[in-house]
Amino acid sequence: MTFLWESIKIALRGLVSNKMRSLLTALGIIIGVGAVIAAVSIGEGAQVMVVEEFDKMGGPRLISLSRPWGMYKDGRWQRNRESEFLMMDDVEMIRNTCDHVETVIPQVSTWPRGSASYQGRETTANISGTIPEYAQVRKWQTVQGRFINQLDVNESLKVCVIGHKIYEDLFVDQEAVGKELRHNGLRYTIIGVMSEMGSGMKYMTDGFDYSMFVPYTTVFNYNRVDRRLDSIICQSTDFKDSELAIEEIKAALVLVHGSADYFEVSSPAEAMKGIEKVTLIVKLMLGGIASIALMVGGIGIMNIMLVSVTERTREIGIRKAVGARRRDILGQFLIEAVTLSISGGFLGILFGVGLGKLIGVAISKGWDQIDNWPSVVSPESVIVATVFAAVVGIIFGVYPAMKAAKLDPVEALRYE
Amino acid sequence: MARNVKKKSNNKKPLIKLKNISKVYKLGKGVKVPALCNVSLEIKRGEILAIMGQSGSGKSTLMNLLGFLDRPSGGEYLLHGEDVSGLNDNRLAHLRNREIGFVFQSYNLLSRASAIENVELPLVYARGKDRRQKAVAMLTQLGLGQRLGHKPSELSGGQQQRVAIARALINNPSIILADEPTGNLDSKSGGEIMKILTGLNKKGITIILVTHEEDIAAYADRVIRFVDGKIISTKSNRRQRH
Repeated sequence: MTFLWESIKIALRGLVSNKMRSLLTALGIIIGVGAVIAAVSIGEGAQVMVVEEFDKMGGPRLISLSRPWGMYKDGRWQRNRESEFLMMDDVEMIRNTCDHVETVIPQVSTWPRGSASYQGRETTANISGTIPEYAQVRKWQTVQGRFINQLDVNESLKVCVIGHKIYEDLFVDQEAVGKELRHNGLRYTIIGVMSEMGSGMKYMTDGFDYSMFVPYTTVFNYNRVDRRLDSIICQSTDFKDSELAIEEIKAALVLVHGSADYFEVSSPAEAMKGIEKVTLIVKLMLGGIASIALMVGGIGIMNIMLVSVTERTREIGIRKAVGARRRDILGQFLIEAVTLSISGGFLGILFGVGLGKLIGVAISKGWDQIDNWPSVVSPESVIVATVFAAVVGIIFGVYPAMKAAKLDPVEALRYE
Repeated sequence: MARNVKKKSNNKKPLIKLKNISKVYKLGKGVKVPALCNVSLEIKRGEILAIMGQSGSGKSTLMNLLGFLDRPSGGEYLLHGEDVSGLNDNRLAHLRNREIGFVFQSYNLLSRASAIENVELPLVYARGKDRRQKAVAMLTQLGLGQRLGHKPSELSGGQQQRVAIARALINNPSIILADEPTGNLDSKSGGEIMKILTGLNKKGITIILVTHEEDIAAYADRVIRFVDGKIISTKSNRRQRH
């Protein structure tokens, strides 16, 4: 053990005394490891970001039902002309028959989407008719007032809870609760303001802050007399039960409509599986590129170690004369090669972390759909990179080290 | 193991006995160059032996064989009465580590290492303990107590050779093999080195000197001369001892 430490110290001293040469030699490793760390951190950052977005919208337990606007039929996309729509009957059926569905929430919008105004100010506002449970499922809170409650629903009251952007646009920073808002010719009393949903990825959640929540019964009464729902949001009892819940929901749809084919049932769980698959492919591709870079780096190390063995022939002779065995010399040069490659690996990790951060910032700045792309350096990727660097050092260090170990002591001592 | 043999062995037996040792170098395509021809030699414990000869006479080859840096092509090499001519590389490395201390003309110190680290080196390969203390003690004994952390390039020739001697002594060898130990030194430093070596001899260490200088050979109890791979003469000096 002390011998190993001694060898590592000797090796490190050698590297430091030849700073420029060591750096150039390790460059292949530094670039290879750095590129992989950077790319993986960006990839994992994307995954984290997507998961966070899903989480904001209620997490992976969400399952959403909708009636698609278009369908692929007779070899082309065409408007959905089926006369089956999502209704409150579906909500009741799912509530009554699906054991793995915890919460069922109807959602209905108004047409046209329209805008809201207050004392001459106007802004975009998309009405969303729903029930009290909506806020819990979205894990969304009010910052002023309260969300709609069961009484509001039962009485079809013209009350609304506004998204944060609507609040900012119409009220700036004044009290909004109790004020009256106009939307498509109807007056609604504001009972609450939602907290800002914000977003890393704008296209997914930006609309949320322009939402205006009212009881679905109110929408039915004043706006959508057809009593059709735009979507139903279900929350499964557990993430793992999502597939089971989807089956149950489809069965419920069959009971109501005779077939589930008229509707789309989708869940983030499926989308997340897709994202994981893409991430895996990206990681494998990067791994391929990295292994080529590491190969090149390894050849650089082999080259410099061969030079080093020749340069230090006399040193090897001296060491052998005072009692070094073959395996001592082999170990020393192998440790030097591995020290070189691991040092390169560490520098590569630092380089890669920096590069990943930089790319993350660059994407966030240059792409207005994304506010903050995180770069995530996982311990696994650091460990894998270090191990790979070490393995490269061993593989490409063996040949020079064996050459050193095999030197004849007499010849080596005579070497000038 | 040779080390155990050493303890048990009778002091009157020769320390080293060479029987008909020969060494042939192969230069490829079947060309063979004989460097030593049937050399027989006994070296007594506690003796100072000088080996003299022109370059190419075979004295360096003999030196390499005696120091286990090389193997003979034929003949027997007995150390402490035990045949060591057919040992493998690891056993030879062990013998170089424990039995032999080399002192070279060009010192052969590791240029990037300090005096202490150079002296420690044989202990590293012997997996020895208290290496630092032992190295410091040895260097102090040789008058280099103020030069412990210096690199070879920061030391004079005489000092470097004393570091080399300290390194040779650190594992308590039975033999010091000195190959032209004063060859690169002025006469004053050379005299000091020879004084150190004869002093060590008085403590019981066998010293084998390879030299072509008569006044260095004069320190020896016995002088053998080589020509063309053969011993042509053996002369005992009536050197005053003690």
